[in-house]
Amino acid sequence: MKICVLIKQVPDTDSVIKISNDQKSIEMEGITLATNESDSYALEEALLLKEDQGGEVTVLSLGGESCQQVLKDALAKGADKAIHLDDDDYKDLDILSAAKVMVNVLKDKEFDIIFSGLQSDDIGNAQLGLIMAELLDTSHASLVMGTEILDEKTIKVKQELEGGWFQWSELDLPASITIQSGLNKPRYASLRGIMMMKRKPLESIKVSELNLENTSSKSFVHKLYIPQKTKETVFIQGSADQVVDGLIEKLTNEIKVL
Amino acid sequence: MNKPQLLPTQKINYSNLKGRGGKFLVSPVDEGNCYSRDMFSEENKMFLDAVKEFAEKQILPINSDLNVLNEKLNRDLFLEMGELGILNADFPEAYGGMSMDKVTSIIIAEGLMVGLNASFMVTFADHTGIGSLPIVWYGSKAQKEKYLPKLASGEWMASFALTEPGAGSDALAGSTQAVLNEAGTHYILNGTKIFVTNGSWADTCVTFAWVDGKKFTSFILDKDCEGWVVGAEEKKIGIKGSSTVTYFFENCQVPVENVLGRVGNGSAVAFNVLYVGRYKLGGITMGGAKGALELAYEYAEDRKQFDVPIRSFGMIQKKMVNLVVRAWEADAVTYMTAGSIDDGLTHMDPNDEKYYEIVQKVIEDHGIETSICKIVGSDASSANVDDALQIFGGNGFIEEFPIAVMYKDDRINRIFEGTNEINRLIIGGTILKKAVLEELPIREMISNRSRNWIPDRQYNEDERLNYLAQLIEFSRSLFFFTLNESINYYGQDLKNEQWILEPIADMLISLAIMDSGFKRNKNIKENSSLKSAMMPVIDLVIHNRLENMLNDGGNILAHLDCCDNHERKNELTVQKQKLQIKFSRISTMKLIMKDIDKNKKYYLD
Ligand SMILES: Cc1cc2nc3c(=O)[nH]c(=O)nc-3n(C[C@H](O)[C@H](O)[C@H](O)COP(=O)(O)OP(=O)(O)OC[C@H]3O[C@@H](n4cnc5c(N)ncnc54)[C@H](O)[C@@H]3O)c2cc1C
Repeated sequence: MKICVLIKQVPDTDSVIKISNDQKSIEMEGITLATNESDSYALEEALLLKEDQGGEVTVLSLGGESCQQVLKDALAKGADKAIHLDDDDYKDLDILSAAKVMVNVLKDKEFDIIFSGLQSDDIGNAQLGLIMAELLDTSHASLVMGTEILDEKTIKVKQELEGGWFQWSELDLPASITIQSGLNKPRYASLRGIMMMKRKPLESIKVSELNLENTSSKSFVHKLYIPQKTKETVFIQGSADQVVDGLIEKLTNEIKVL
Repeated sequence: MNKPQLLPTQKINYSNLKGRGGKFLVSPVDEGNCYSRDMFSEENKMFLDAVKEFAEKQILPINSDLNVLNEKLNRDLFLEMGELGILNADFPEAYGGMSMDKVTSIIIAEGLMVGLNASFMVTFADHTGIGSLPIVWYGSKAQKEKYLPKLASGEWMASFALTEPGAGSDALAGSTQAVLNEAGTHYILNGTKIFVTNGSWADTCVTFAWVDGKKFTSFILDKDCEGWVVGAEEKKIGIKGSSTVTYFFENCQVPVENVLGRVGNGSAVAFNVLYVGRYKLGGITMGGAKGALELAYEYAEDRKQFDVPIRSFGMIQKKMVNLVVRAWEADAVTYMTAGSIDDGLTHMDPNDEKYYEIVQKVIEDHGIETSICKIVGSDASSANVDDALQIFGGNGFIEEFPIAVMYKDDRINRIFEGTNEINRLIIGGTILKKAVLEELPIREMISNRSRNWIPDRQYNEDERLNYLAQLIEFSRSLFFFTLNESINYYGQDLKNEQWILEPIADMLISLAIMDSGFKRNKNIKENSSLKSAMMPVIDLVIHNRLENMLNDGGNILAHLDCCDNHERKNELTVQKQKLQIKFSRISTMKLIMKDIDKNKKYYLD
């Protein structure tokens, strides 16, 4: 089984986010970077499948030099190879262009499964896995909560539907699958894994040297801002019955908790 | 002797001192380097992150469950840590460990303290340190094969029983006896061991008894040894989640093959592993000092009184700065020590038969440093939990708040692994021994510095750093002057004169902090924000410690003058005038506070 996991480096969820003066990006100084949460689960799912089925796990990340750290973490946890698509300006790429860059390197590698996290914690497109499936012409499932290999050509996945419902489906391989956080327990890097990390291949490819066409972005960030928190007090007037009715109406239709 | 003698200058070869204990004392700030966290390899950094993550996710959330006795939780954590290599980094590779260096073991101690659970740390440190190390160091092949893999994986838990009702600090005063049975198959042990950590959970115990009343000997006990009776749990002030019991040996049958090392070699087993316990406790308490600081800072930011966060009050800020400084000092000496021990072992192969013999020699050679780690770490954490608790106000006194528990848990650190008094005695005794045996160029330093307390040279291109270097070199000279005068006055009896030995030890501690703190700065990348942010911390630490040195040295010299009517203290006064101290404590502390607010980093990563 050849598995690829797409991993993104994002600001740690504990970071205090400040918006830059140009209002198009965030201040990176003082921010700790980490592996995108759902990508950690995707990696764990890949490692579990490898342990069960044999094979090889490759991790891939598109980003500046710092993103090698998330690749090294993945190698320390048990991935076999890493590919770094080195691009300091990757933030200017929209998700379709980013996918095209990745596909360019992945298309000849014949992966059986491409795992990615459901969405990134920074931009939150939640589209990468789907676009990869389209560009590479593979099957696809999103929001996956469980996987099971049925045979060399088929994977069974459990997907989360609305309202607490789940659905099992069988997909032909190869497949691009996006993973929902919480389906497994991501492992910690072991001391031995960290010591082994240096001996595993980490290939760095400069995106600028790939001479790609058709990767100019079609969508742009216009403005970033932190949502205003507002407080509003509404007095419901009338008799006790009218107050109760008014309250129920607000809780049901406006606040939507009933 | 009215005027100090002027002695000839002597050459010292500093490169020979790499990896030697006490190196910090005789090497001026521009000679030789000193290990610090800034020299972490990529693997070191990743491992620290991994251990911290483990502590944050696996220990912190169950913190309160670990504050009451819960054997299963502790064992489950052990098993998980065994898988990850956190439990067994120090164990030999051949027996399920990783044969890692000492810096890694400090990284583990520091990282695990992110879980803020002192009870668990005591359980862990006892198991990996004094509980298992004697077998690693002194065990026969058969003993290692039988015990180490299970201890390394976390399947078994270890304990170490040395203390007896009549033998605490005076560890060899015990009365437990071991008599060989008639068949010659077993030693029969009778006696009582108290305060045994991990006592009621442990599967093994390294203990000590007198064979034939005169040969102090170490034994390994396991659950097959009949007559090993475990007493009730002690009711303690703190570390309530750590097991502490009395062991009664009632005709306890220990097979002869369980003698650890040779019959009669027990004191080496007991004392040598304690050195390791000390620098590890240094790492743990350094982590604790940082933990208290983080809690206090967060609270001071959230808590408002008089309409502003209490962090904005000067008196709270002063505490914050002191919290940072103490943790910083402990950090500098602990990694300096671990790095120097590792330097002493660089060319050694862990698979070499003689490896552990040499490890012991190198660690014993660092007897001054290991005691310094223990004292500086435990003093830092106890002052930090106290200041942090004060910042919490009334909430700090309520056990729902982790700082209250940390405050109580911390108290033991100044007592076990050798009380801080005993550790000061070790520092004083070791420096005298190293002087007599000429293990360090102490005579050379005494004579070189008799002439000139601040050798006239450029220590650093930066003007301020050059000035600070001069303060350190002055302090070094003051130390050698005071040591020499004390030896001249007391001769052999100095080792029994605790009124003098304690301030001598304290001077050495101050010097170790000044020296390693200053040398750490050299390891940091030029023009980095860390380097400039750390400047006021170094400035403050060096001036604080200079003050301590002047105080301790002045007290000793004044006392000697009183005893024989000489005027040694005058020399100090004369030399001190050559120092032109340029320092404002309040401005420096305010500067540090400003940076803490800006970076929230405390210069500690
Ligand atoms: C919670 C806990 C866990 C422990 N775990 C273990 C364990 O696992 N295994 C084990 O073997 N022991 C253990 N101990 C014992 C511990 O190491 C001893 O308590 C410690 O060494 C001090 O001995 P003591 O209590 O007899 O005090 P004492 O030796 O009676 O000391 C009393 C006071 O006198 C001072 N003093 C003693 N001698 C001198 C001297 N020569 N000069 C100056 N001052 C001196 C001491 O510093 C101290 O202040 C534990 C103790 C506790 C409380």
